[in-house]
Amino acid sequence: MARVAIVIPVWHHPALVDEAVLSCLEQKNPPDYRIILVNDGCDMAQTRQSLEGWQQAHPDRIALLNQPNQGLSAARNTGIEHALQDPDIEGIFFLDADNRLDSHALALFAKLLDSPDPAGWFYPHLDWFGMEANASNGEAWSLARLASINFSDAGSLVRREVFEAGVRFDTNLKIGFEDWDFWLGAVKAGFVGAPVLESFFRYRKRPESMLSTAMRSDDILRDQLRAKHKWLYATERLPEAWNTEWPRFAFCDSEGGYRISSDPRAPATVTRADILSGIFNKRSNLAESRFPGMLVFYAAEAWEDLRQAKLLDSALYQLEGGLRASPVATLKLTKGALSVRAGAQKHDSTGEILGEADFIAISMHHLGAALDQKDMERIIGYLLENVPVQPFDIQLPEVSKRLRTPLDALMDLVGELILAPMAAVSPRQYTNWRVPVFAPIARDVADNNADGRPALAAKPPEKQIGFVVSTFHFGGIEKCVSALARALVEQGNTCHLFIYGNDEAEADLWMFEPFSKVWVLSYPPLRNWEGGRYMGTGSAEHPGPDLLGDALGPLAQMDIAVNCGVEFINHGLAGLRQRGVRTVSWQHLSETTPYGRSMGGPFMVLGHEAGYDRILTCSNRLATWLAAQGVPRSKLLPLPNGPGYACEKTPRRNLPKGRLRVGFLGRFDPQKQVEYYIDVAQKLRGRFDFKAVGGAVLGVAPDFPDWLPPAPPIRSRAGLDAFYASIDVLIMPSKDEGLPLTILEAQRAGVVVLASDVGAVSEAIIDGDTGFLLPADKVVERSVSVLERLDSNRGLLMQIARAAAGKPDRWEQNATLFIKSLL
Amino acid sequence: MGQNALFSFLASKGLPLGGVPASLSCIPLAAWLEKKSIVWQGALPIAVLVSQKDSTDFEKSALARYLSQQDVPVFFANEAPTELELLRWICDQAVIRLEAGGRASSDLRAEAAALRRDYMQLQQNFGATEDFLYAGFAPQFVCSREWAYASGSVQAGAVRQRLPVGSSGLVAVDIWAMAKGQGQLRFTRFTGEEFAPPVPFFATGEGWVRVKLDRPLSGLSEDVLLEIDTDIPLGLSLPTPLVQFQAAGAAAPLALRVWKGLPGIRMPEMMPSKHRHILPASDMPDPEVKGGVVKRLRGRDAFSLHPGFESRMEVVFRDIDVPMAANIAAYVQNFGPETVRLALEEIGGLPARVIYLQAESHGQCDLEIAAAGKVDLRFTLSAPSPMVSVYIRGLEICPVAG
Repeated sequence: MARVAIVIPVWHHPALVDEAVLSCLEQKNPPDYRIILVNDGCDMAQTRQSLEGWQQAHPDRIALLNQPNQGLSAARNTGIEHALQDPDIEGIFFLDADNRLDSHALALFAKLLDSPDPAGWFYPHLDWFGMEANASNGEAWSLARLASINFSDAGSLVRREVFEAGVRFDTNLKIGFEDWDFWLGAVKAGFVGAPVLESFFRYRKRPESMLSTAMRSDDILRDQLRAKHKWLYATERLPEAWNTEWPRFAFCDSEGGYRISSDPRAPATVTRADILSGIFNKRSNLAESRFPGMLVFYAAEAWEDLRQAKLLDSALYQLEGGLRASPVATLKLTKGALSVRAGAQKHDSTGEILGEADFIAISMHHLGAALDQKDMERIIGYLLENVPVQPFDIQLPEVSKRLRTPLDALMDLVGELILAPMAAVSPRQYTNWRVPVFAPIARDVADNNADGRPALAAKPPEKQIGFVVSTFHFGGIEKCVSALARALVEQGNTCHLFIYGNDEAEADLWMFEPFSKVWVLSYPPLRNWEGGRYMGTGSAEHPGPDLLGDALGPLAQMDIAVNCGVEFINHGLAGLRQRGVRTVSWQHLSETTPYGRSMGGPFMVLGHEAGYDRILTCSNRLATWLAAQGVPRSKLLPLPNGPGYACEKTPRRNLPKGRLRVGFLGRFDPQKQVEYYIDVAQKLRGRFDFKAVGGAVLGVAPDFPDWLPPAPPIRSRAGLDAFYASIDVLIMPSKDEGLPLTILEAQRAGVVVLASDVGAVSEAIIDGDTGFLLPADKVVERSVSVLERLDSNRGLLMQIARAAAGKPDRWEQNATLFIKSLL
Repeated sequence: MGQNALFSFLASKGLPLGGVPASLSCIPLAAWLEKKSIVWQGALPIAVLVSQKDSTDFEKSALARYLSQQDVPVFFANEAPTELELLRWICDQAVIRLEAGGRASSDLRAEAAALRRDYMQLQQNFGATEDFLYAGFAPQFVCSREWAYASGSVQAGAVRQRLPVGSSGLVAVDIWAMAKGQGQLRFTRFTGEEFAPPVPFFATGEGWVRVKLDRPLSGLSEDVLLEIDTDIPLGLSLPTPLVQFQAAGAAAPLALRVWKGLPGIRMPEMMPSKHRHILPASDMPDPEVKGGVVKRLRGRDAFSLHPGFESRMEVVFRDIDVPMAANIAAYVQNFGPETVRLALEEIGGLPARVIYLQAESHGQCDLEIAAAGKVDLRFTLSAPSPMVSVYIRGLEICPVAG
């Protein structure tokens, strides 16, 4: 019985099919095999005569099947079903009617089927005749490459097990790429392909063919494949395949350790010899070598500093992006408040940048070109001197002392490279006669990853939640983000912080604690609000595909991405959602222009509502407003704020004696209307003790009287606790507010709050019960009268303070609601 | 369902078909009327006979639509045909099918005749082209790739080496013998199948040994593996990072020169002998140069001469082996825009012969050598300006009669 079946679908190749059949019959030492001719309803009598003639001449070898025209896929499927009726068939080869087999092909098939290689199918080199060309099939399997291009021709030998798993050609793909779809289906069913290293199959390449027709519809067909194979294109499968099959970094530390990996934490240790031979291999075969495209030299202590600051992935990701425009990128750590800055590209004519760098990244392309230079002096000159460098500067609160610089490690390796025997050999010396098949390039993978380069490490099993903020200072929104993240982590999730926009993050370290990784991207285009206006609020211009991709790439690994007011991210919502990410906007408050018009985030989210799965609000009032503006109720999830940080021990308060102590805490910006507070203080000077804490961030601070000098902003939990302990009453005379944390934190500390009745303040204060609401147009008068009343009735003060202090922390409940609503 | 008879027809049950010969296989129609998906195995039927009872079902069937597309004739037996009428009709259809087959055979004979005619013309044209190339001393073979001997060797025994070139046109390889000895070389595919019978070789000492096929390999290009069995160590070239090109067990490939020619045609003599033979540029030694630059162009099997600012240069090839009194013709090409003067002489021999090469032309520069031995040949190039590019393709050594 036959071991191999050759399926030849025929339509409109009445003469060329004779060559195909003859090539199948003229085999040397073949195993037993059958040729299955499938006449796919060809309307040419010559086809019928030809096929019937072949079948009648070789009735034991050839089966002829006739069917109405249904397309190439259906014809192949008919052949498959017929072949499978023979239980001895171990493999099926697909030969199109205009192609040919070499005379040793069947003997080779027997060897392949007998080989221990577990591959589901064996694919050929691309040997064309007609328009002659010989291209390599890559000589090693790669799923990431298969996702980018179809290097596996239909002329492949497929094991029976693949068909028994139900894999067939898609009859809906009538104009091409049906073979590509078939291989993807086989992979989905658990199989991989294996390249055959010797020629056996000949593809007749003509200027006009089904393939050229398909190439004209390339974009449409690719979209079809992506839509059909979401298991690959819309999940972590493709980024993981790319990261695994095509490692992105060769790491060389200052202590002589080497690793090759995409994931900086992977224990992928290699030897120095591996690195050296890998570099030469890449130089000789840039397209097919699996050696990484960039080398990263680093000081071991700096690596550890970045790891502890949770910035390691982000820093390496930025270095990788930096090599797009420069052959060399550097990273330098200094001590200071956390910040990440991309410097301007510059020529390092003095060697200062490289000499002081803690990380040096070099593209393999640049290193290969350097090795092409004639002698050591020229190699060093080309590689390092006067080369355009993309510098990055990172400030960390703690920076360790360096023992050895990455430049030392780089020079050591370069020295060995220059002296290696292979350095004397031109890479062209060993060029193969076959044209290499292209490696999947980052752009191909990014196209399927929300347009961004994938994150470096594999996605962990627990749910990943990313919070995107434009800045991360000691502010209210930042504290909300940190508080919700902390509660989510306590419930078994993993949270990441994405600081996209400003280059400084001066928050206290405790605010970073809930986050597994911190990603920073700080370029001016990310802070742009000069795009079109929606309902009077300006949006961000598109920052360009590379920059947007850099922002979205790691975000695509999240299960949930929470955008906390980063406007440019709205340009990438569709890509994230296609990638399966649940998109969320978190809104806090509207602002007011100097002329009194409301504007800000809530207006902009109305314009992008379709791109979000959920819109969180800090208050019920804002949720109602958004619903009133047309946001579906089912999309809204109010998460009323709680205090922004955990307080270990609430101080015990006694009935105050002496003057009541009154305070203000916040930015000295127009929104906060600190001038009203100054007015109140001036009117009651001498009868109360006043203090003001804060600083101007978005505007110019008003003049404070000499007797009321403002104290600088507080950036720590202990500082806040001390401040609240030092006052009895807090006044918040703001023009706009959401549901301010300051009110909630003050109440928890036993401070009586007087706040203007704006935003959702009334959700935190029941007037006269848990605090006092100040009419927006009578803030000063009402403040004065309430203070005088409290001063004269200290019992009332204590009663209100105790009533307000007993509220439960809301973040745990918020986290539960958040997860339940989204996953 | 298998229908493998030469001629078959479909027929409704109950029709009078007793007279139809057994060579015309009758297939019951009823089983096909219900089928929605039609896959007909074997040659299509020559006709369909449909009874009145089946006619409505048949007209609605997928089979009817398919057979109509394929021009299979249908006979509707609505008026109770006689056995003879059916026999005549079905035989007519068989004759029609036979006639169509005959026409197809006639067409194929015409196509084959046209191909034979074209093939003969192609062979004649090829022969003329080949003669023209020989006469013009155009390169019949080139050194397609050279991996020079560097250092080290692989031990005697079985050695495998993947070639960096495709099989088409492959005619010879030179390997570097480390000592006197012999062996056998096979040009194979990775799975062991040979392109040609094994070729024995003999080395007289350290140096290149040429292993030559009778004629260049023809056909479409494939990857080639050398399998060598030898009793001597073979020299290695510089190391390569590409594992696939490393000789088995070494970090470097074999020192190797790969020769290619025109696929399938005869191979001119490549080694010095007492007959007319050709010394291509790749077999000539590196020259001594004065007043300019000479580059060895491996891919084109030529030396490229570029004079310096004085527009004049001398190129000397030493120790050219001439087996007997001979006429030496150097084949040269001028790719520049100006006419150049080229003189060829034997150092210490007869006065130089001079030729003037027109712009973008080729020619031969002749010289007589009086006796066998090693000679030093000097080319002197003079040009109006340094803007010239002259190629030396090689030497043709023709023994002088008597």
